[in-house]
Amino acid sequence: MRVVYEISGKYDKPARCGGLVNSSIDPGVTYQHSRIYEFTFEGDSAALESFVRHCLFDEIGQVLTRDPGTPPGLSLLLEVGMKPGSLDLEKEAILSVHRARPESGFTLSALRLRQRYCFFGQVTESTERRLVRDLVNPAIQTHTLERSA
Amino acid sequence: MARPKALLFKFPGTNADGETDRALRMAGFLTEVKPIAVVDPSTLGDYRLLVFSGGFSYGDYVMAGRLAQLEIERRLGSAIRDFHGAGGHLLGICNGFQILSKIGILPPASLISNVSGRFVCRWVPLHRVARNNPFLATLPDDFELPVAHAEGRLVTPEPEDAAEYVRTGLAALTYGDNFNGSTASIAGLQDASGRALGLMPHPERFIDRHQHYDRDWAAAGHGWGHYLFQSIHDRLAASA
Repeated sequence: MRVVYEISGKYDKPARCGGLVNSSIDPGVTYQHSRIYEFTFEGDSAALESFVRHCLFDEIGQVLTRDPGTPPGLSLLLEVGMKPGSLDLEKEAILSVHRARPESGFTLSALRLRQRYCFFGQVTESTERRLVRDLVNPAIQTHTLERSA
Repeated sequence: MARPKALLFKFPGTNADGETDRALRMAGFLTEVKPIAVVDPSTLGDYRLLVFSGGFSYGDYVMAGRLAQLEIERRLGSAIRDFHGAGGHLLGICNGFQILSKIGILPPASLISNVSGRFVCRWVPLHRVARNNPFLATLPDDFELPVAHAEGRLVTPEPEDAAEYVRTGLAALTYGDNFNGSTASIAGLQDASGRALGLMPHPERFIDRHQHYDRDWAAAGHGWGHYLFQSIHDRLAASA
């Protein structure tokens, strides 16, 4: 089975992209950031959700969404993850936590992590190139871009 | 007077243990710095103070302090809560505060990304709210310390909880300049007994007055941070 969780900040609001990039950028473009955890597993899906809630999620400051869609008003969706074969320390840490819980009730066959950036406003091709250049390290990361229709 | 013993936990990514160790020793503690992997939970009773210092434990992966919390649960079980319940003292600084807030000893709160979305490194004015805290006993009501964090904005389960923490003194410290957007400007929390304190500012980085940005600073004989370590040392030494 495969299930996707998105974890985002409960208090996050669309913010100007100046905090993301290394030089000034169109102030009309805003973004929201979240983390995507894609699990391929066998076993009890309730046990998996319990694991996610205990190990990856903080109910005071975060929002957990299963099988997330895209937010209204989205202009551009950028997702960044590690290249297959690159050492993904966060993934290894999560797998290590799972291995330490042999009674977890599920078996993980794959875990894929991505940083998700949702951009709002008029994102020009030039701005898009800037965002990708500053947010993606092509030596070790891969990314997907999706423009809203 | 017997020198109280302090244990300073080290996780992969902890980077302020050297400064904190020095600050503790300067105040008179006998300190040991131990990686979490070699801490024997049955020995925690040998210490009077457990310290979680600053840094980026486990690279701040997942969220700051979470993986350290899980590793503490796995390796030490309830030993830290038992230590606290038996009258032990705990101090968490910056990433250590993030860890302490997650292991359930401090009042419910989380430290999330600064409202600016950026890492902030600067000095901040602070106000001492708690009157009974043994870590703050010799500090004035208003002082300043350096901060350096990306996830220091304190939020509570309900916004009104933060006002209650300030009213009751569980909010041990507040910012004079709420640069990170913390609810009710809270910079540090204590438990109801005052024996556990977590704070985002770095007292260990201002133990000598020459560490102040104003070279002529002479408001006290040492930097303000020294008085935090001195306060808890003196309290523990007196109660040995």
